[in-house]
Amino acid sequence: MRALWQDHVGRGLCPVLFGILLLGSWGCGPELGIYLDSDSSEGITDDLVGLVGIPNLDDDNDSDSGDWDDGVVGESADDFTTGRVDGENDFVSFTIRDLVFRGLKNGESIVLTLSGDSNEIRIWSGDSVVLGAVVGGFIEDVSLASTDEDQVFAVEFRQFLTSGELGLEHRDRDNQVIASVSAPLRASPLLLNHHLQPSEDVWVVDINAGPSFNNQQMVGVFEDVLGDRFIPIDGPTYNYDQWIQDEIEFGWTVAGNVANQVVVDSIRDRPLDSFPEDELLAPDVVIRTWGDPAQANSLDYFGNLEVSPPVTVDGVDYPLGRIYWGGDQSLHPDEELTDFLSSQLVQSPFQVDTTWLCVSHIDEFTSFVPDPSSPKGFKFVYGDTRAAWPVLEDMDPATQLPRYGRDAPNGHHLPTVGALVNSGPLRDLNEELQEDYLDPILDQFKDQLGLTDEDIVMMPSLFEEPFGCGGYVAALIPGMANLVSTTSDGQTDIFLADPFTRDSDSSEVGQDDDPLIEYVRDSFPESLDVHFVDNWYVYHMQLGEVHCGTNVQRTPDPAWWQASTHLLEASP
Amino acid sequence: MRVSTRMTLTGLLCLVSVLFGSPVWADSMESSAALSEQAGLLSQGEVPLQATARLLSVHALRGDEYRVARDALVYGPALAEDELVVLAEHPDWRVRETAAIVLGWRNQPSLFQAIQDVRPVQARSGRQDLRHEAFAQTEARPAVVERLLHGSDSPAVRSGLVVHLVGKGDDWGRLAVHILAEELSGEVRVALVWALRHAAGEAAMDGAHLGLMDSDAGVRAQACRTIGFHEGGAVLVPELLGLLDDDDGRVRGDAARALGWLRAEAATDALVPGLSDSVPEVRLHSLRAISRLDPSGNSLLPWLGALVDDQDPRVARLARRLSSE
Repeated sequence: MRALWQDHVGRGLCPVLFGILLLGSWGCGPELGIYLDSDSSEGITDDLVGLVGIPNLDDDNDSDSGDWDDGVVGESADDFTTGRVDGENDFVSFTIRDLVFRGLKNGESIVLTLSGDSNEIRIWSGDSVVLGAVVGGFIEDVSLASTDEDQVFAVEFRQFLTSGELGLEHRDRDNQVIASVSAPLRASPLLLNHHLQPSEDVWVVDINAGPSFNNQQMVGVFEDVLGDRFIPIDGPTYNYDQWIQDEIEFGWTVAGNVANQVVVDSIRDRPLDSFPEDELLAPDVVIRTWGDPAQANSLDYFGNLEVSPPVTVDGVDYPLGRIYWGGDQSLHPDEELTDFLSSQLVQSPFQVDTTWLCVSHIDEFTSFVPDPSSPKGFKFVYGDTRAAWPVLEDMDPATQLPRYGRDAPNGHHLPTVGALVNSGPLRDLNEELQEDYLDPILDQFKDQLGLTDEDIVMMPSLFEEPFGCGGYVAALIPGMANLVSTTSDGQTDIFLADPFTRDSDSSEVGQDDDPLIEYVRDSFPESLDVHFVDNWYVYHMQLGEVHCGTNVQRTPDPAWWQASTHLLEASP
Repeated sequence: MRVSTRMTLTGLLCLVSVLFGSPVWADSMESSAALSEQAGLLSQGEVPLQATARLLSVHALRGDEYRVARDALVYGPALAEDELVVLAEHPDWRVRETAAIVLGWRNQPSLFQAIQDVRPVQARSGRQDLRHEAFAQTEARPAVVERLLHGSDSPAVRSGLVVHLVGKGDDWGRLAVHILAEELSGEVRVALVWALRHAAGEAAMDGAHLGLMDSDAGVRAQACRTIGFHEGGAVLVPELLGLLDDDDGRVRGDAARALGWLRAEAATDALVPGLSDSVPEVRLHSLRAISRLDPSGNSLLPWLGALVDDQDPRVARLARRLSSE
């Protein structure tokens, strides 16, 4: 049990006193102390931010509505004796010890108070709400009945980052405060996962719709490498919607030993829309959507929502990384979502311009891979056209490129290496993209994430104007920066597109002779197991790559309140 | 209107013949050339003009009216197999393609039905994609043409069909130009002009030239990019120069861009006014095109001082680089 307390003038007390506030010169008055139970205080250090909980947004009693809403108590403001739902496990608790009543004089009282977001917090004693939100309003204070036993209270939060202050007051017979202690209460923000967190389940939609539209080779590689951690999603059930990355983004709310997985369900509303409800909904899982589906465009899909690993920028630590997405002033993800993510503070989002891309997703040219040997623990993988040309120019121009040589919609009408490297307009186009967008965006990433050149792997990339894109571009060489990283038991596997820059029509043939594959293997940290998979027809030619076609559930970093409190200071 | 009415009556007459007994046509992979060899009896001059007229009349129809008339030709006795084989080589593309459609329905009905039945899927970019193994077959071309010209799909879906024309037959580019000339939807015309970037020289440039004259700015802009991208694009440099004064900023920008891609040195002076265009893309593409056409930078010297402070960061960045070189 750990004490959370302050004296009445707001000056922090020395922790060695451990919860005993002596009142009066004789030293035998009430002990004003608010104690966290051991579960709730797990991992808390000197960066104590108070009592930390999670918003009660899940559906522990399987009622098809959130537990906070199910917990609406009684039918009037003075009827609040029931409401805790079956299976409830999302509360955090604190204790008021019996010593609080020690030496209490006749007419004096001990009062528990709540301020701040009082209508979004409930303080429970058993099955009764004694403070906070009730039907028709909220209770600001309650006088505690004298007892010779410790009293345990549970705290329930309504929303992400709900905050308040719990007070414990010793009042005289005129109800004037003689002494008080207080403790801040705060609910977890939504924490989106980044690529360096350990991976759990990995999903790919299993597509087998004929020889020129299947991902069986790719699915097979995932099965071989990940075993039971890989979960294929039945393609026909979801009308062959292969873009599982676009549909959902995984995150968490965490506090001590309580946690909810949060599945952010995009407003995309395509055939995979029902996947999270079909396959992921369970107690301790929250599915939430922000934004208006009627206004959705491709920037609202979650290939366009990513999180960096932990970074330090201009002396400011971001222990949970920073969220980033693509857009510009006029075309961007739904502001209901981006405003919400910004309001969560600890992953301080930023936007870069992706509107030059046909699909406009940030994952088309950026990613991160773990690199335990580097000071930052990762490498930023960034699409770069300048890196592509020398590799291709070193090849025999007569080399056949069977995949590239096919006509639209299955290829790029570039049958040989010579056709590719000798296309003046293609070089010009890529030079323009590099200078107008890729270079300045890289500078922005360096600024926003505190990166140096040593932190970056330049991924050879070329772009073209595909069919139906009105002059905007997409990957010509399968986008290898658009990768997925899984880490489990210390083993990191990277899955990315086979670039097929060789005379082979099969991903099983010739990878060791593919110069772009060799380049990537040489550029990536040695600790990574890199798997190049055939994503040509189902993903690449449909304007996406491996990351777009996968999704990964990751283990949360539980201690956001330890190192991220400085980022909460802007919180009201 | 009078022609249309007559065609409808023709279709109905044919339908009557269908009702009195349709021949059963097995699927066959026989090419029209092989059939022609088998037939070997008729030349173009020997096919009755009436047969040509029937095909032309069907070509002009859409939707249900078309399907009734087509089925009359497919299942009725009005056109003999040997006549259709010859008409599939007719000089008029409309006759040619319609004959191929009728032959296709007679000889490969399952392939044609499969193409008709494919439901579009919205791609990530928002475009409507049609995916089916049947599209990969060269013999699918008339089925694609039929759905593109005669179906009741939306322009977005019809645009998605255009990509399946690419590479189907040596003359697919010329076919695309013919369709482009008749097409009413700007969205479909954009798709056709995009496809022509992969077509053989003369047809591609004929189509792109049509595109440059299109009433839809999106088509004109696409035509500029197709020309700039095409190895034969230099023949249309004079026409591109004309579009530097287009009313639409996208078109002016893409015309400038294409002239740079084509290294059309004669365009340098004509590009200079674009450096002060109100549309950032025009300034950007004009600046870059001139820098490519005149590597000495002399043409740009008077302008760079102002452009390094351009409101558009891309223009300013490029101008700064050029100033430093």
